[in-house]
Amino acid sequence: MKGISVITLVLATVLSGCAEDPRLALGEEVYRQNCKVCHAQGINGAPILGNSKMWGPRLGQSHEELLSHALSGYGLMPAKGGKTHLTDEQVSNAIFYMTSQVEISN
Amino acid sequence: MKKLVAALPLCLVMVGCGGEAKQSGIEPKVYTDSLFAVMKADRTNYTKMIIKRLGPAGASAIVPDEHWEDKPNGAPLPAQMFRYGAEAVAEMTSDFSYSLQSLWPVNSQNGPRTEVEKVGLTYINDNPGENFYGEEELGGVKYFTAVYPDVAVAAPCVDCHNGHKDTPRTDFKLGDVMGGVVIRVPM
Ligand code: HEC
Ligand code: HEC
Repeated sequence: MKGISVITLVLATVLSGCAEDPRLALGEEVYRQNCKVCHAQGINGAPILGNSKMWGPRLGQSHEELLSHALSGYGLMPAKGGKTHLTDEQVSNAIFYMTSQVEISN
Repeated sequence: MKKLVAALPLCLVMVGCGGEAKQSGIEPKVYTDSLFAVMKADRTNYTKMIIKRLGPAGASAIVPDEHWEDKPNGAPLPAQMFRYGAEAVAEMTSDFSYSLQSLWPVNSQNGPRTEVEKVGLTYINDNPGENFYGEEELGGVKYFTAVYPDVAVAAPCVDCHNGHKDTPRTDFKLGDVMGGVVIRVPM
């Protein structure tokens, strides 16, 4: 019993040490292929990746709210960015990644 | 030689009064990025506040149409509005020029004219979301040329271009890079 919890502890430490939330890596890939085209440049006012000025006011919303906006379209953003083949989970991961970048680059 | 000695203190004096010795100025990339930020903001606002609000998707008070001049309530398309701006700037200054181009233009005048424009448009198409920066020499003048992506942000972009009688391409999808803004400044 003790052995298992030690192993678990070590495993958890190793995992958290070298890999973050796996949704972020998955989300980054979704972002690169589907969202970057608008969110890198702020096309039509899309909040730019890592730009805290543009993301700041939006981060008052919960992940669920952001997700529902991205899924069904919001202002000048088309539903799922127009990439209708994406699953809700892929869009959700992309949002986790995008919001994770806000503090990092500013 | 004497002249040089005389020039040296003068040089120092000038540097002393004038501030930095090295030529100070804004980097071309920062300059074109800033110009693009203004263009992008204006284009977005025109779409959001005029076309969306007053066009068929809103109050239906205006009809955005390529042949807007033939209609009493016709309004120029965003791409036309953009070109009119570029043309007005070209009448004012040679310090910079810009245009909205595409490898698949509905208006053949909007195709690339220089090698760097072609390379840039190809690059932003192959790398969605990224800009292209290059240098070129035209008519003995060296230019810094930047190309920024223009994206199919709404269904009408795709529908109108794919269905346009003069379009060389009919398979644009939402989210595709459709063309790019080319900004050129002499160095
Ligand atoms: C065609 C361009 C485009 C693409 C592609 C795109 N977006 Fe957006 N996005 C926008 C625009 C424009 C806005 C700003 C909408 C507004 O506030 O009017 C926005 C806003 C957002 C917001 C903030 C919504 C809010 O409530 O403030 C999120 C989250 C978002 N996008 C996620 C995504 C994700 C995830 C993807 C990729 C799957 C994506 N976007 C792809 C244009 C795009
Ligand atoms: C109702 C039809 C229509 C719609 C909607 C439309 N365009 Fe265009 N677009 C045109 C026409 C016509 C031109 C040529 C304008 C000119 O005379 O320079 C043009 C020009 C362009 C160009 C320059 C290259 C070319 O094809 O001549 C780009 C890039 C472009 N549009 C992108 C877009 C995007 C992005 C959207 C959506 C935000 C959009 N267009 C919406 C009709 C349309």
